[in-house]
Amino acid sequence: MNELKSPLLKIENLQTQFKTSEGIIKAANNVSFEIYPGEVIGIVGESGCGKSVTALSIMQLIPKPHGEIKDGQILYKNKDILNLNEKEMQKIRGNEISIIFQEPMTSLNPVLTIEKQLTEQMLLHLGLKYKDARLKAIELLELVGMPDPKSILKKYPHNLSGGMRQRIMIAIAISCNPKLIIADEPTTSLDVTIQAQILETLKSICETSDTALVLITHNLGIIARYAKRVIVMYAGKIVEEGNAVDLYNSPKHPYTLGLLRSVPKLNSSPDANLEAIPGNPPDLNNLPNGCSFQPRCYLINEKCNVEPTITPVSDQHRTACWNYTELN
Amino acid sequence: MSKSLIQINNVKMHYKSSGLSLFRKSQQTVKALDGVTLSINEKETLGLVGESGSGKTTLGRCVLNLIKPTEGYVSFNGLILNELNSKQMRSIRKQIQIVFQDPYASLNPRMTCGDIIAEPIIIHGLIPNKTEREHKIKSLLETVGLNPNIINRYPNEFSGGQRQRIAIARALAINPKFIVLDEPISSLDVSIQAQIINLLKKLQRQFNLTYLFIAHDLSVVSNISNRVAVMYLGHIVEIADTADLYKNPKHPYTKALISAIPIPDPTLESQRKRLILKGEVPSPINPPSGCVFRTRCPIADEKCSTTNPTLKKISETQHVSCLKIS
Ligand SMILES: Nc1ncnc2c1ncn2[C@@H]1O[C@H](COP(=O)(O)OP(=O)(O)OP(=O)(O)O)[C@@H](O)[C@H]1O
Ligand SMILES: Nc1ncnc2c1ncn2[C@@H]1O[C@H](COP(=O)(O)OP(=O)(O)OP(=O)(O)O)[C@@H](O)[C@H]1O
Ligand SMILES: [Mg+2]
Ligand SMILES: [Mg+2]
Repeated sequence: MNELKSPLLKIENLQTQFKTSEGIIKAANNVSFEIYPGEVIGIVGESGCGKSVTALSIMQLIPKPHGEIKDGQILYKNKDILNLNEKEMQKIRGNEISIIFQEPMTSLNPVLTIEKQLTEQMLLHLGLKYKDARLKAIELLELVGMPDPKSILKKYPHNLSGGMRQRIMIAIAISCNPKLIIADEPTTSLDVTIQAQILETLKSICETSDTALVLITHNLGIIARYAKRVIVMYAGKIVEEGNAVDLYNSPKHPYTLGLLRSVPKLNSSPDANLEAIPGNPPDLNNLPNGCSFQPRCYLINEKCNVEPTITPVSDQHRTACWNYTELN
Repeated sequence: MSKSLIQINNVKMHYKSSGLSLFRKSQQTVKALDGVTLSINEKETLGLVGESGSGKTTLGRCVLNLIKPTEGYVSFNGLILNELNSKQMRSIRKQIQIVFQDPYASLNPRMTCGDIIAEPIIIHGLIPNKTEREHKIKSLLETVGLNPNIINRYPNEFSGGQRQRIAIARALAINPKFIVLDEPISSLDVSIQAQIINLLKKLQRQFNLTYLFIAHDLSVVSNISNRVAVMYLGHIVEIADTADLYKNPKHPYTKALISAIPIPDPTLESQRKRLILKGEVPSPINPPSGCVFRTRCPIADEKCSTTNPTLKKISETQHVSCLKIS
């Protein structure tokens, strides 16, 4: 995708499975993509398509034993981190790669002060003295736009609003200068004006420190605003990947096209209907043979009974559809 | 100009909540609604947007007469809800319904889908004959785009979008005139949201319904509403015809809301100037003096902290509550 640099992270044929009461589901099914230093990449798709599972797999936080990374490679700076043991992986987490989750309340510890939680990783990874870690914590809080950082340090998560907690999560995520931040729906539970504040903060921090950002969301607008490259997932697979402008202007998968057409536009008239994608979201326990999108697709023919592999349509654009040339 | 169906007149809802402090019993007042006046016209969709805690659900509950406002009143077809006897109230209850945000929580998991839809019909004693009732339920299921054969199945066998269709069928069961839709698509997937919006529009035309459509997301509201009211901390700050509100927003909060919505078009987004608000939403327990928006407002001055703005008509179709706009 980017010949000049070598990828920071390269995911190859990732297969992550869960044992459920109804059988084994392939939550990430042969997922492959690359992340380059300093870039913002968006992963979009609907509930259950495997976005979080992909993120958790990278961090090796898949709950065991019912969840398992079955196959694949995750190369960080050309080294397969799937071979690392837990202790080695801890040196990567928070230090080289950070993750920010949707609900900051569940990822912050309710009984520890913000000071404790914000200094923890710096003490662990950076070997700072407590006094210096505390000073850096104050700087970080300023950086993420928190008013009165010194008094914030003494507070507990429940003393803060949802937006402030998410700022704390960002401060923790950047505290050890990671090379990559994975933000999994970082603003979904927040109000729109607060969402805009948080995302702008995250973006400018990543820009100034040349940190790569993976932005996971179901919101096509957020992706359009921040990501240069976009990955679209459906039923555990990547169905399309391309640079943002190409993918939005000329999608090469019927699911992407359907998603783009079904979002209401700000200036649309109440008399006009939206173009909805028919049918229901896929059930991973019960996928059709061949292409998973078949039951909702208007382009189907016999070819679709064979599972499409993702193939290039141009230099930086890939799709997993047999019939993409017929897409209008 | 169409006829007004619902009048909301200077409605205040001040919840008394006892503070959770261990050491002293403190009584706090949450000003969920603080003087809301608006009317909803027959057969229109009025969109109501605002951030979490701005009072949208509370307003919906007042209109449904599920809670009594601390001050002010709501009237339906000219009848003031607080002043009705129980017989009159029952006849009005038949005409208004609600659909909630979360179709997982709002459908009783132990009832079949047929029984869920039958419930309001039975409560209002509408179709005593069982066969006729089943007939009606099946036709309702078809109306909302579900297979009538699912009548004996339970909610957990359905996806979110299908459950929301069942909730809509239940709301339609007693042929209401007016439905409060409280974030009916917020919990649904993007591809399913459009299906439900289209269904709601179709039903509105088919049954001449009036909607109050509550949402966080202005882009969704714009697509279904004829008019939009913007709420902030218990106040309506702007109300206008949908097209005017988007093309020509007046209130700084409306401008910020519109600007905060990212457009799904990378080329447009990269050229767009955005107005990012500073600060947090204040608590409705202790709202700012004067204009409640002034703590985040980019154009507020001293006057805004001492004078309460009121909704002023600035054109035939647009009302704004801001001291800086004349
Ligand atoms: N701990 C788990 N145990 C069993 N199944 C799981 C677990 N975590 C995820 N799954 C399943 O894996 C699939 C992918 O889930 P994932 O959380 O990645 O979805 P997502 O794309 O992040 O969706 P959302 O937008 O709702 O966050 C889903 O079918 C989900 O039910
Ligand atoms: N029964 C109650 N007792 C005390 N306070 C309440 C009660 N119901 C609501 N509130 C408070 O009133 C305010 C308005 O709440 P409301 O639910 O109407 O907001 P909303 O605009 O619907 O928000 P959301 O978008 O989160 O649904 C909030 O501060 C809320 O905490
Ligand atoms: Mg997720
Ligand atoms: Mg609400």
